[in-house]
Amino acid sequence: MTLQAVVERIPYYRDVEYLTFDGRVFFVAAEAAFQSTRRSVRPFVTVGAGALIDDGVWIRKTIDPRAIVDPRTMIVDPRLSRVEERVDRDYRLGAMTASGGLDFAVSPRVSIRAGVRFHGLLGPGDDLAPLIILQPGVGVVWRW
Amino acid sequence: MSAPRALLSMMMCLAPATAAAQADDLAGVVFGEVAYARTWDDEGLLGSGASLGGGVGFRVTPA
Repeated sequence: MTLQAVVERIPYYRDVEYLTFDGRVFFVAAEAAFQSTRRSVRPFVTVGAGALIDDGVWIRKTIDPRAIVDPRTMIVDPRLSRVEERVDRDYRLGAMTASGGLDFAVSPRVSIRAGVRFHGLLGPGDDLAPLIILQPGVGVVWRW
Repeated sequence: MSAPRALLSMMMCLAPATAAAQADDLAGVVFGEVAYARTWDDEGLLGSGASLGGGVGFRVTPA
């Protein structure tokens, strides 16, 4: 078992017709890692807990009532822009993290990892707070 | 078998064990990773993006 500290910066962005989410999660955690002792390809799993710090903005885009030319057919004047309402996102919440994957040994000291990491809130947060984060990724490990 | 050959044979037999012992003795670990992250709130997808992460650890039990 290996005890390790993890730091991650996880941006998110989504822009659709009626809303935009733009933010980033800074995640700090302590976790326990378990890795097979096989020589070349070694499965691993990790589990831990930490703090999830979310900072961003939520933009709601609605039609300006003045742009409605015909209320019956909801024809709008395209020259009038939508009304944008910005809601700041700022959350500090406890979250768990877990990951799993394969560790490919390159040398006794260096290996390459491919896996999936999951983050989930430990308790009920605000409705707007990030609830789940899923990250397939690759990494490099150096041992000393 | 001559003495040099016997010594060479002995070294070749011991080399993998020595290398393995060195790998097992490495208790410290540092790592970095890149990932494609997708984030949800309780109503749906908040968005996605490329995440960066890293860490440092220390093995606390024998390998």
